[in-house]
Amino acid sequence: MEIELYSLLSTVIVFVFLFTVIFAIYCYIAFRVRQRASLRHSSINSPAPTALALEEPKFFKPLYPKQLK
Amino acid sequence: MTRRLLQALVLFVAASVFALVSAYWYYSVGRLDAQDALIPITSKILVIFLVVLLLRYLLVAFVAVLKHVQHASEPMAPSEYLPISIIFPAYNEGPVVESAILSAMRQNYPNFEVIVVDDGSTDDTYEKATRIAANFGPNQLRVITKPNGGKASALNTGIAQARGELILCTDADSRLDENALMRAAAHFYDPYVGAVAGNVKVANRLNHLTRLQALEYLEGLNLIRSAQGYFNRVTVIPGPLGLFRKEALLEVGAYEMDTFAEDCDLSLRLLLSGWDVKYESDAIVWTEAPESLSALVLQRYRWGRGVLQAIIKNRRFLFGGCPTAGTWLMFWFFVLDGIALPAMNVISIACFLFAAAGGSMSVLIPLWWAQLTLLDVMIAMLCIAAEGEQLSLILTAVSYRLFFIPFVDVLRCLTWFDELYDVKMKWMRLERFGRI
Repeated sequence: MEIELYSLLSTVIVFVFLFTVIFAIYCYIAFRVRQRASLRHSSINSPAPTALALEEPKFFKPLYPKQLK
Repeated sequence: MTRRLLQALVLFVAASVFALVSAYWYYSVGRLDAQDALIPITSKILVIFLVVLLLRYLLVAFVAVLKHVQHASEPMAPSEYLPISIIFPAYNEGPVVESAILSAMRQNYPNFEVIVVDDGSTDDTYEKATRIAANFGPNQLRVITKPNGGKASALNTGIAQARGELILCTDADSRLDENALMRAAAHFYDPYVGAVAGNVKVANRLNHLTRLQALEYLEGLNLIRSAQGYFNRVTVIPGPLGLFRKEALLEVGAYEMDTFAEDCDLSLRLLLSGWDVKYESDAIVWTEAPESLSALVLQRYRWGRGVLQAIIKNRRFLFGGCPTAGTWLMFWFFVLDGIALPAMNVISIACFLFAAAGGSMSVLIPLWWAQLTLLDVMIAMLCIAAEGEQLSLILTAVSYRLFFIPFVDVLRCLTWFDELYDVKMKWMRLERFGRI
């Protein structure tokens, strides 16, 4: 009886896991398809990168300064 | 006093449940050879992973409790009200920008300004922001517009314009609690503190998915931040609330645009430059979580790749060069927690499916799930008691371990392959519903 209960629980959990994994892979593929379509679209309409670069503030950045303490 | 008693009671009940379940589980594992039909090596992998997961959970929870106790003795308000600049980067945030700005203007802090950086929005974000700005003087609220260049670029523009000694970076889809500035600024009496991470909570708990995320923020993200905060080594300052010392920001070069997790990258650079990064659980910010699975996938894909990019970018510090041994250990913890833990979860699921495909249904499977779910419930109780959160979130812990964690971890592992194969990615923004 105890083993049957375990088997039943195991079956339910394994099926939920299986469903979740397949569903996650499906969502991932769907996302990649949307990304690809979006990238194709943006390559035509995106502004020139040099125009954006002019607007970026530049901060002085030393290469990882020495420990402060 | 009542709250303390409640916390003690929760800890006692949680520890008792854990001890009982552990005892039963070890008793069951002792019978594995006789009853379990799993392939022995699979069983061993699962047992090792489960023990590592349990130890990690308990360690994090224990240190988080220490931080909670320490928090009671920390100052509630700053000794000196340093000027603070609140920066809102906004790109097509029309539905939420007004409530976000107004929440900032209502801050219970005497010395601050707000800068809204419109990042080339194509909707009415700029018009809405300027309309609100007309009600305040330019010393209180300024609106800047620039061509679209991404969130990091907008934040850098705001930082360059900021007059404050402290800079609060937030999101236009977030609503600051009125005491957020006061609580976070209280930590800057210490000259080594470079930044303070705030406590992010989900505002739109409208469906099961957003409630699951509310639980994740509570017992996943904030619990880890709380534990890291005990050592002043928080590895991810959340985008919705990070208060920075301007000097520290400029020293590390502010936000960089080469990762998709600019907040994680900046936090790591601050830590690795020797600054302390603290956590303040009373500096609360409410944010809008993804309400659909497709939006969640978009967010997690960005997080997954962004965190990996930040780790790869700073990988040389894994093998030396960290300012302190504590920082080095915390960096390793961050790497293992962000990479090894999801990988272990996914491998465990693969082991279960492998065993099931072979026709064997192990006693280990329900025990594994029950053990981790009970642990989730226990930690959820702890966090709910500590933060005065909704008790109903405990109920979501069941599907949290059964569906949410496997879903998110499988997704995260898939994003790593894309990052390693350098698949092109575009920053796609989440749809806003104006729930804050």
